[in-house]
Amino acid sequence: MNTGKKILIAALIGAALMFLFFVFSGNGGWQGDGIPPYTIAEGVVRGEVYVDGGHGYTGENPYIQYFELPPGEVKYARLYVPVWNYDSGDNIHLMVNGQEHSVRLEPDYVSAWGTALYCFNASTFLHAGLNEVSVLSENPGGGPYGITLAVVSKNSSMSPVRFWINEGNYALTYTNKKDRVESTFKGTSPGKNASLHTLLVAGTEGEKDELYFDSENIGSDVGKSSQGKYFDLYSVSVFPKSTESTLLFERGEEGYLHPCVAVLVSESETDSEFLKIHEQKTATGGEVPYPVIIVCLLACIAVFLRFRKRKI
Amino acid sequence: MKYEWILQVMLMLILTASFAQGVLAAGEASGSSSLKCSLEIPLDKNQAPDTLVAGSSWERARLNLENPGTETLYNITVLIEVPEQLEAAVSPQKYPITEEGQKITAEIGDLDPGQSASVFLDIKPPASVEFKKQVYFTVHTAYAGGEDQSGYKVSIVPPPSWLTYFTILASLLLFIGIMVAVKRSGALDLFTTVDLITIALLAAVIAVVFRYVSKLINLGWFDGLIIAVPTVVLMIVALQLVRKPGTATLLFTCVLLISMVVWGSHIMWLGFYLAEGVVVDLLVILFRMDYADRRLTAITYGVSRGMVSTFVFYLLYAPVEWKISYAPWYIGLQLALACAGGLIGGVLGYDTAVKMSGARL
Repeated sequence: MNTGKKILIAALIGAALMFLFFVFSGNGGWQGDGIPPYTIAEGVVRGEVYVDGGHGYTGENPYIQYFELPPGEVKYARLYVPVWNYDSGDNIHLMVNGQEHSVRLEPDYVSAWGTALYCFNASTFLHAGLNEVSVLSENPGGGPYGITLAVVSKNSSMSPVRFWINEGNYALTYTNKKDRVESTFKGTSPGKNASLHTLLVAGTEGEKDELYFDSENIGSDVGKSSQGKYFDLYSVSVFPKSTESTLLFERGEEGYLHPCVAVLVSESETDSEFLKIHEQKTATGGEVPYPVIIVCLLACIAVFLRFRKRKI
Repeated sequence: MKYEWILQVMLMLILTASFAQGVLAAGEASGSSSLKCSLEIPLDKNQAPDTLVAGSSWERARLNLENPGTETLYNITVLIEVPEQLEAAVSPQKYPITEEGQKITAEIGDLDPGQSASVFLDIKPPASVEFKKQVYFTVHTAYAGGEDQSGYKVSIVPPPSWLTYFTILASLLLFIGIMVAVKRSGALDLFTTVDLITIALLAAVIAVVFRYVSKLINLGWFDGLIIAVPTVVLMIVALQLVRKPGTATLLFTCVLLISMVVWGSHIMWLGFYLAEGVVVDLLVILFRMDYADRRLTAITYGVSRGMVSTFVFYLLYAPVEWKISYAPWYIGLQLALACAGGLIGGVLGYDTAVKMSGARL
């Protein structure tokens, strides 16, 4: 077999392997547009819903965040760790109040070039008062954007509140040409006082984005790294206008913006408490962008034509 | 073996870079007292210590306290005086902490011998400073039977905002200059249609396929090699196949243009891509129109491209784009990896190009 044939066979095998790798690889690369924030938990509780977090991408490892929880029994708690530069093989190790919580190899939601969101149920690990959450990440060149905690606390001396905890990770970027995404809250009560907390990552100060609740503008340049690098936990008072409220994120001038969490807490119309946990959605996995397939095919054709020509 | 010395040089570069962290990372200063005290800012070990880039967002700082003595220190309180130029904030943490203007007070309590404590504070540098500025944190510690005071110097480096415009302007001027020179000299006429198609195809593979593949493979600290090696291989192939002055510059300019269309890359990166192309083309002229015809020149081009791209990226584009001032050891590590990538890419590129000689479309 001559050298030309060897190279041709090697190139074709390489191209075929690469193609198979692309097709079956679920991680890495362009991870897709992601999942718009959807309701993972909702209910009515006599008590309050605590949402807090911080403190931006700092590169520290372990990444430590403290949470001062209000008095009351923790009925439900969801911890969120958005991470920059997730690659297949990375992992994070979560410790809560010095107790080993879990080691997570795969994020719950990932989009764009590896902006990931890890979600944890942490109800049994937390208590009223000060709590320490520590994340040790194995992610060269990346790490947590922050840690955010949403806690539903029962306190019989307080009025009942209706809440919705929405989670996801949607890539609003110029790369995928996605400019807006919606997140809905079903069963809202028009006219009731409510507060909205939303977690966005990758926002940049000066690159103006917009936030709308039931078509009303509730924030401009919300993603501006206000609580740390590329980390924003924005809280605002809102008034639902219908029985299904919609939160709309508009990318505007932002290059990248990832809405990850939205928590709505409203006055409740009923005293009967309940907690409903919805099934978690799974991402469909990254798709190979068409330009990659096209360029691969063109390169293969070019190599094939060249060596065919030489043979002739 | 002919590859033996190449492997040795490559290993040496990688090992040198691996040990660089321990050698170059400077230790924190602390006041000479019975309570050991040090301030860390920023907390990212990859970033230059005690340096903040003006215009960047909140940066976390950590004050570390340690009782190195043999007796317990009681009722320790810490007062941190934050420089006026910096904004400060505190959040709930292990020790009670209060903030009053630029003064932050933390009540640590007792520290047994060998025990340590950390206090976190968030610091935001000013939006702009004209020149590099040095500011001082003053830390007063008091405990039963004694008190100490120590100072910590932190540099605020100028905002890269003006540098951003300068970079874009310089890149465009360089680009226009090259275009004018090329037109006047008639160099573009030298490129045949086949040459241009070859360059465009190779550029597309670098910009689209390699960039995508680089995110599929995770080599940790050695991730940089994934894109550096094949890029240099294709650069050497382009030089040997096209054999015209300006090939590398044209190749990397096409890489950016394709990246802009496919991935939405910013025009600001034009200077980065031009720099790596221009340096290779200048070397081609310097070596008397040697289009990587020898293994040594192929390696030289690969390594030079790696060096230039690393310096331009970490010393210019990282501060401009991300407002990050990287630590010298980290830049050294990336430089060594880029050189190793250039070395491997040069060797592989030469062999590939020789076997593909005459393989023009």
